[in-house]
Amino acid sequence: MSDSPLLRVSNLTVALHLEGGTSLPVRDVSFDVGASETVGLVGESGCGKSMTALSILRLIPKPPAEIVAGSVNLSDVDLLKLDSNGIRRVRGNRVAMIFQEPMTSLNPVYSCGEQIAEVLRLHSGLDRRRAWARAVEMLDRVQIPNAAERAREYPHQLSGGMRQRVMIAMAIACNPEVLIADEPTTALDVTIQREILALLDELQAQLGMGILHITHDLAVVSESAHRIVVMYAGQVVEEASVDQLFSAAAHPYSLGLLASRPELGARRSRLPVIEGRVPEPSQEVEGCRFRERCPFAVDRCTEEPPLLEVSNGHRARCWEFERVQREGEWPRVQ
Amino acid sequence: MSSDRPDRNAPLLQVRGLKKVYAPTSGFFSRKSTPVVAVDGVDLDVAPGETLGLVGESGCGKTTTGRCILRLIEPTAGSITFDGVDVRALGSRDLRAFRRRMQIVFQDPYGSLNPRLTVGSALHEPLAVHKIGDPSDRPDRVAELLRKVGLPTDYTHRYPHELSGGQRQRVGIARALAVGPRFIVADEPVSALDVSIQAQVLNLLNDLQEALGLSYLFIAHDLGVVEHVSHRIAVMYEGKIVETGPTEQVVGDPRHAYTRALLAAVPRIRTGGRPKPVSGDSANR
Repeated sequence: MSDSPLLRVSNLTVALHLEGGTSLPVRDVSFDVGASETVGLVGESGCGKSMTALSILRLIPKPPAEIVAGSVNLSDVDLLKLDSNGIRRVRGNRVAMIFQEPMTSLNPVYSCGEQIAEVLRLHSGLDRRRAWARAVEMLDRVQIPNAAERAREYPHQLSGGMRQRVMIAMAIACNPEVLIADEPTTALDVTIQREILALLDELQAQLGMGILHITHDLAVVSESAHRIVVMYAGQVVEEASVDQLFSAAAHPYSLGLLASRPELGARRSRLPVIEGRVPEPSQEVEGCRFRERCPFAVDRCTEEPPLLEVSNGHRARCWEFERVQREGEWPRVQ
Repeated sequence: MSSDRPDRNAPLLQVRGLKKVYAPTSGFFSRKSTPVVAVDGVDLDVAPGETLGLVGESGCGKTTTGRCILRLIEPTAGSITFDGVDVRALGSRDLRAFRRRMQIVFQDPYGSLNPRLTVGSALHEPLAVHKIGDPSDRPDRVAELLRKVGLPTDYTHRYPHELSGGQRQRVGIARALAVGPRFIVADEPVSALDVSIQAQVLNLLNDLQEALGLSYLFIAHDLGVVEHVSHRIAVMYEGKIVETGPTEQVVGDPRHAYTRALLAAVPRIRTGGRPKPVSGDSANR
């Protein structure tokens, strides 16, 4: 954990009020993002990672969702306590966000340049001409060739990779302190994915922004992040540096995720499998939420483990983390 | 899977010079477009019991190739021979009968299953269409199909929306298996699934191949997945096969520049991690 984090999410809990009752898709989630730091928020669908990200900027639909506990501190301000004007001044300005599918987040009836210029007029108070000039500059910065001409083009005229660059240009236009990137490369081809990841690294080095990179892909964060937060069924189950997680995972779920991934060049006849399925957010589990799928489970697991300190900067929500690390391998059934 | 490689001398499926050209379109709102060559002279062989991985990026023509082979899309040129039969020469009636032998599994099982049909009806339908078995023993066949793909047999009464993504894909596979095919085109069958579920479905496809002697054309963009399931790999780029060979060779010793670029772009687990950010250099704000 960094000394003075830019963004500190503490004990965030989100409730979802639906007809069938209330569930908790995000449960007591805490993590920090420091300046020039990339934190990978990893988990499978439904684990609460996107809900967490959206809650930071209070973008979750309310109702049905409601932030019931916790705080989100950006430097010294609690974003959850701001009024609607206050949070609007933060969004896209101090904290920006990019999404998986740039086509649906860009407005099809405005040119790319206009959309970026709008952000600048809104937050930086630039006039039309200066905002346009700066928009072109931003497109150039995200390495879009012929930026001045491309600025006049509409989203549908661009490829997926180019659209994501436009999204990034829009996101960094106001020089944000924190960039939240929700599956920014999932919809892209691998060669384009690599370019976008490199671009984010480069922009981070120039601007010093903290990046929260949300993804389901462990390999992607292993290349892009400094630290990783693994989520399972609404909870943080492990937090570690990239090195710690990939060389000495301490939570069985992290180990299982790593094992079940068909890694290039490591061909096995059968992939190890995490049996069963994720509990529903509404489902209350006695003790550890991973217990029923966990090959390491012991009697004590009916008591819910807190995040336990594994080593410096490495925490895991597992009573048996020492044994998990010692064995270091997902046990094979059959 | 790599050890007992099936006999490749007698291909079950042989594709030669397959071509699909989309004619230029002109509409009220669009300018006249130029013809698009989606598939440009593709040659493929798939042996009995073999998995051929077809890998490439979006727009390379891999999906069109798979669909042309099943004649879900009519190819423009080329020959498709399946078990000695000239597939392109089949009339619509023969083609329908022929589909008992070649099936497809789609990427998004939610989009390919009728939301208003229960799992049981969805599996019953192909049996009825192809008049397989006696109507009275079809419920048993449906239960057997569910067992084959590892789903509880009481799932017959469930609707697609009640299932998880992995379970839906299992139903998609069961539906393809219903007619007893020898060859399945699996078009991105796991790319919509979570990693842990993906592993379950890949293992299932593997088990079914061993049990039933199936051949697969496994279409995917994820090289890690393709490498895992395929005996041989064909790499596609801009409508053409640029490299084909045994999996170990294509992955371990790629010959074509595009294959190399593709392999280099695949993100891999790096244990080293990024160097710690230099703190205090964010003075520009």
